[in-house]
Amino acid sequence: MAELSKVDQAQQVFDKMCAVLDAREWKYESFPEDLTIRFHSIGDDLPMEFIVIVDSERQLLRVMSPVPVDDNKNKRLDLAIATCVASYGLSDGSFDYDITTGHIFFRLTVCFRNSTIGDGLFTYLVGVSSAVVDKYNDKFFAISKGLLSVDDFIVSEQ
Amino acid sequence: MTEEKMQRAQRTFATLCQNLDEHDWHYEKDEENLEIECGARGEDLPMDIRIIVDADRQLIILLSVMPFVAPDTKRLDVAIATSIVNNKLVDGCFDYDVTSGHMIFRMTSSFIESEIDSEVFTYMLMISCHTIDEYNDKFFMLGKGMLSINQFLEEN
Repeated sequence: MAELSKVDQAQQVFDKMCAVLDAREWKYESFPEDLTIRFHSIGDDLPMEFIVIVDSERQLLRVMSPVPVDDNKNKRLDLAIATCVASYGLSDGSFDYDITTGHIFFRLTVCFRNSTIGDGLFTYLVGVSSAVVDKYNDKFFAISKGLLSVDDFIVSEQ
Repeated sequence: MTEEKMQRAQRTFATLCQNLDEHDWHYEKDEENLEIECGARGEDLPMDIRIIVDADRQLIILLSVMPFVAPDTKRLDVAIATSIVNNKLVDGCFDYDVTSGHMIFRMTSSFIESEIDSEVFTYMLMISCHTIDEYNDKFFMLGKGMLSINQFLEEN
């Protein structure tokens, strides 16, 4: 693997990811020029969107998922706490909260420098990201709407 | 757990130890549990780093416990600061327990069905040390009341 350029290795990872998703008959949009794919999924409640980026320069595979919440400025401090509480219980990935815009993203990253990535890793990335976002997106949405207090959320996580 | 998963975890652990040896890192090794502990000195606060190769979940988990606990009166400020910092990171995150005030930096990488190169450990250690060193003193000062959340916002 060491003889491959960063660009070649990133392309190889991107091609493999698409092949794995194709084999599992996942529907996704592909943006090969950006080494990016996007797909949607229906969870138990809210729809979920996932963007997977193969970052050639940094040799990273990044999964990002925007979490839809109500743009309620009065709930931004509550959501800052709630995203901390949710992330604290995770073994991989985290919820990033932009307190200035109110946007929440789930983020999961894998470095593939000189490494050989197996099919199972792509399945893991999609599976874990989907499960985590599905578990918390309705709770964040409810907090943003004032339907769930942050204190009740903290108690539910303990 | 299958034999294949255990063997892959042991190979990953051996690659980690080889990487640390090559870079002359001093570390303590627990071969039975596939864990190492090491320390690093940043510009200010010391950093304790623990790396676990989780054979069952096929994960490399790097953890660094921050050497302070935020008092009750500062927990909202530290939660806001944690959000601001995590939102800027590409990999890894600061996990903040709002009920106890403890904070841990965490970076995880999966090696399911994969062969991880030594370079991945160089990356994990380099990025983790850099990120922790950049922010640990700011979290510390915020928790101690030496830096206000507004000052933190201005700086970040």
